[in-house]
Amino acid sequence: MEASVLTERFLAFPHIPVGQHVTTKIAGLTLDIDTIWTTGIACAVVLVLGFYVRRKATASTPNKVQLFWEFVIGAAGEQVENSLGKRYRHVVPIAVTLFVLILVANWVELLPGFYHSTDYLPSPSADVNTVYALAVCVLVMTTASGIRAKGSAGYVKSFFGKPRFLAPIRILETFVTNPLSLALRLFGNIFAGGIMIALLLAIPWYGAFFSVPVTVAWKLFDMFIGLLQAFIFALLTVLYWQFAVEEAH
Amino acid sequence: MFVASSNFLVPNATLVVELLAFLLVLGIIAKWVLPPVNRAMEKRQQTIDQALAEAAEARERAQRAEEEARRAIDQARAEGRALRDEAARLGEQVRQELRQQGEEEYRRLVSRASSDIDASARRAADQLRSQVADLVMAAVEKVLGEGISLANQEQLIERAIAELEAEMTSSSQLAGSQQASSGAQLRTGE
Repeated sequence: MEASVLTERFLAFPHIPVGQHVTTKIAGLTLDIDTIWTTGIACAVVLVLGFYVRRKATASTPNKVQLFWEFVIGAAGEQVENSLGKRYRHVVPIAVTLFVLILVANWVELLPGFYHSTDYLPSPSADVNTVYALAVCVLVMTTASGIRAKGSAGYVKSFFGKPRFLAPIRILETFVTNPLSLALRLFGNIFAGGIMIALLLAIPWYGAFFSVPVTVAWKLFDMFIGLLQAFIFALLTVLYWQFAVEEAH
Repeated sequence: MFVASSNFLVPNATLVVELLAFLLVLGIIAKWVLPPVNRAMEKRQQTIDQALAEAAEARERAQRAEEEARRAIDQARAEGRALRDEAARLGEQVRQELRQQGEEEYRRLVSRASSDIDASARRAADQLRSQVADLVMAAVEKVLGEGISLANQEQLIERAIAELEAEMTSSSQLAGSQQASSGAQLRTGE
């Protein structure tokens, strides 16, 4: 019964794919080609900005691209120094890359769509594969850093501090809740933003006087959400790193 | 190629591609992008710090120079004061010396003048005396002719001379008192 209701609702907007991806199979493995494609665009934008600033980096008057990088690096550096201290300066590039890459990936959504069934370019962040990959990276790196800081035994012991009965919750939090919420927070925000754009674009032409300004407003708001989510992801990464390496109180 | 209809919360092999893409971008950013930007930021910070340090140093130097100048001015003022005092002292000394010299010169001139006058008076008296004797002799010879003895002559002459000298002495005393009064006038006119 429920399934038929859902099917009916999807049929009401048959051209709006919810959570569907253009896929291909290579050696028996399913690949979301649209996500890989937009990820490529996002990576290319980040690398172009990166190599541009590498060529033009100057100690005198910086251009706008350099100012952007300096602002991000400065903010990330400050956050890392406050949370982790000077010893963990190697976390700065990770936080910077996460922020810039996620920001550009989120903003890809604003480009008009091609190579996809929608009228907009879906953000890589609206695919769980991207956010899971990033969360896995963060989990692996923070765990490795925690083990290096405390030693294997010390790291394991850190979950069994007083009160001891909270140990399962600590383990669950560190290895499941935190990475999953980190991934799905980003995914949900951007995924929902994409569906909103799809719905607004699906309004027929005679509703244009309403749909055009609202779409513009929504896209601007979506940009803000994209910025906010990129910032939150990078910030939480640094904080989880702090939890992993700091001594239990 | 087809549109998948599986549960969109379940990942597939795309995850591996995304992981590799992220690690690739991370590696490139960490190795080639951040170092030059960091260097530029550090260099700029160094430049700013250096400029601030230089400004502070310049301010300190200016302060020192001002203090030195003020000290020099004070010293010059003190030296000027000392020189002025010294000049006044020397001036006073010279004035005293000149005054003393003037007084000495005055006294010397006065005493020389008075001794000159005495000498002139004595010379005049001597001259007068010899002339008077000659005159007396001539007059006596004319009055008496040759009938007067040598002894009488001598007695007469001696007496006449004594009388004349007495007279001369009284007249020279009068001249001396007159000279003394003129000297006093000279001193008061100084």
